[in-house]
Amino acid sequence: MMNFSILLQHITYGIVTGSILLLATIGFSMTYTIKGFFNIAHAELLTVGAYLTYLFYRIMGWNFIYSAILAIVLTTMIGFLIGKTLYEPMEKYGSLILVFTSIGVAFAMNGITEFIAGPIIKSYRMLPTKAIRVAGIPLVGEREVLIVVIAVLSSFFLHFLLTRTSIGKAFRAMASNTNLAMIRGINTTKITNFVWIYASAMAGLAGILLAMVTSLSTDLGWRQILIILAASILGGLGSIYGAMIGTILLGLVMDIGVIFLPTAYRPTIAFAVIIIMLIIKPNGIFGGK
Amino acid sequence: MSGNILSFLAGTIALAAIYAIYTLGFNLQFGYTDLANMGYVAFFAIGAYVSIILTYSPPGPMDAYRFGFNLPMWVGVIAAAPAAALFAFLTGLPTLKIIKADYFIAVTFAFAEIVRMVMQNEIWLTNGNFGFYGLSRPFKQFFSSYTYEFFFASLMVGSLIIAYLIMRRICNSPFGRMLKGIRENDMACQSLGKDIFRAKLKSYMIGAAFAGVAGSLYALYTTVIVPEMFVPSVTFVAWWAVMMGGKGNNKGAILGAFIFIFVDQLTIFTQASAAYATRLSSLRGFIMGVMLILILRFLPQGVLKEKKVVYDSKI
Repeated sequence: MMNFSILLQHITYGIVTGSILLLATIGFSMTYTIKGFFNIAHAELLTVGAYLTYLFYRIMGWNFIYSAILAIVLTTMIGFLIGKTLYEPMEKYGSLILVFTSIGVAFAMNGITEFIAGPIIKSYRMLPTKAIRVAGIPLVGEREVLIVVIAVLSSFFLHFLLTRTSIGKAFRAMASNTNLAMIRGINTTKITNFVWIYASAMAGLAGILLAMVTSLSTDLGWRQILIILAASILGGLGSIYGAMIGTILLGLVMDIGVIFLPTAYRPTIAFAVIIIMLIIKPNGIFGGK
Repeated sequence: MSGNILSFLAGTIALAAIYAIYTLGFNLQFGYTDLANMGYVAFFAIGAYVSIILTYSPPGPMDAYRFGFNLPMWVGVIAAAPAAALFAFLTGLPTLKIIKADYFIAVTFAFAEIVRMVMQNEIWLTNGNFGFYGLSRPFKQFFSSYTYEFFFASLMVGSLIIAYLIMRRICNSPFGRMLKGIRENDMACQSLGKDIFRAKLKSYMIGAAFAGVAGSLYALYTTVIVPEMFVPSVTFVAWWAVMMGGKGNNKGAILGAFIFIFVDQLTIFTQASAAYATRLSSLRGFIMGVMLILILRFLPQGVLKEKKVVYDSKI
């Protein structure tokens, strides 16, 4: 019976991990879908969002919700500006050069964050919340439940955007065939702007949530990038819905995996997923061919 | 004071020479064969660890690691090459079949991180995060500690010259020309009956061997080996140097590595006080990142462009 409660705990951890990962991966996957390159610097936006919140909440002493919202707005602006000024002029050189550029951007962002914030690990110092018990088994705190709720709501919101609004429909059209979309008169610049904005906002939000349940260090985002990559590959590159399912699956696999593997090897589960999927089934678990 | 500067300079030259050997191998993989290897640091790490395990003193009763063979230093340096090449062979077999550069980047990145995780956690083999300390340096007993820095720098520059000559020989050989041919048009090469996969695997393994030797020399330079020294940003050094110096140009690779190390060490040397030291060291990443962005944008072929070789068309 003890094994069952441990398994249940790990499943709930996995869902929480997957929820944060979902928000972090959506933008990465959208950028890959529309721009066709792995944006290595995407994860640095998580760090930026988390640290800006720390600045407003802990140092300036504002309300947490307002701090978080302002941090997300600023992160969105930074992400949008980087996309416009650093990535878009490089598109003519192809996806490989874009990946290098994004590595350069990741190093620059990481360096500037560490220069301003310093290398010491910080925390929002939030009070611990009461654990929610199911059949006497303590599972997760209320804060973790909130994270899952935010992830679910944002997924429904994105679904609504993609299926009901003109910009979402245009995004899907551009994702399936950019040239055809352009010929049909879809404003691809507008879609690209939408992707930079949405991707950066979600990254900022994911960074704040991640810092809420762990702590703040300047490599907060850098540690996630391969896991984000793994999740988007697992669900199928270029598929937004696939990426959503991929993140939850990867969260579950990683957190259930630590029952059998030493905890230190938890990230290697994600790395192994990248290697196995790209060698055997690069279109993702739902992909055809 | 000027003596301090000179010995600092000697140390910088030694480090730059080691990284130049490391970058030469990467240039063969990426510059000549278009293998966008994001996990190049893994070969560097394997070279360093293999040479250490072969040359380190056997474990005492209190030590966590299980192997140390106490062999001479040159055995470690030479053994690093086949060890890294073997790992390249094993990982290259499945991954070099991947055609898309993006996918290859992701897979090699993941491989290198797995290697680092294994180094952190398999304490019986690598002594975990404590790593190996107090490694001895070659011919140390014949010199005073001041003159030794200069001797070591010349030793490393000598190694670099040997590595460069070997690499030049490889690149000018028919094999080197075939690699360029594959890079430019793999279908045409295949139609001429060349085994593309085999050539890529060879290039991958030779490049890895260079990284392995560089790793073993790096261990002699630092005298300390811990897994933290082999983070993904070390792969970034090779990328940076090749993009800066000029893709597909061996002299460019060496130049790029020297520029990287000199810019990097300059930020250490100019540190005014200890209080600002950590702050300034975080600016290094910023400077390197911005420099890479600028090179890619304004000098996409690097400082030294690849030389176009025109062969005599008369048959």
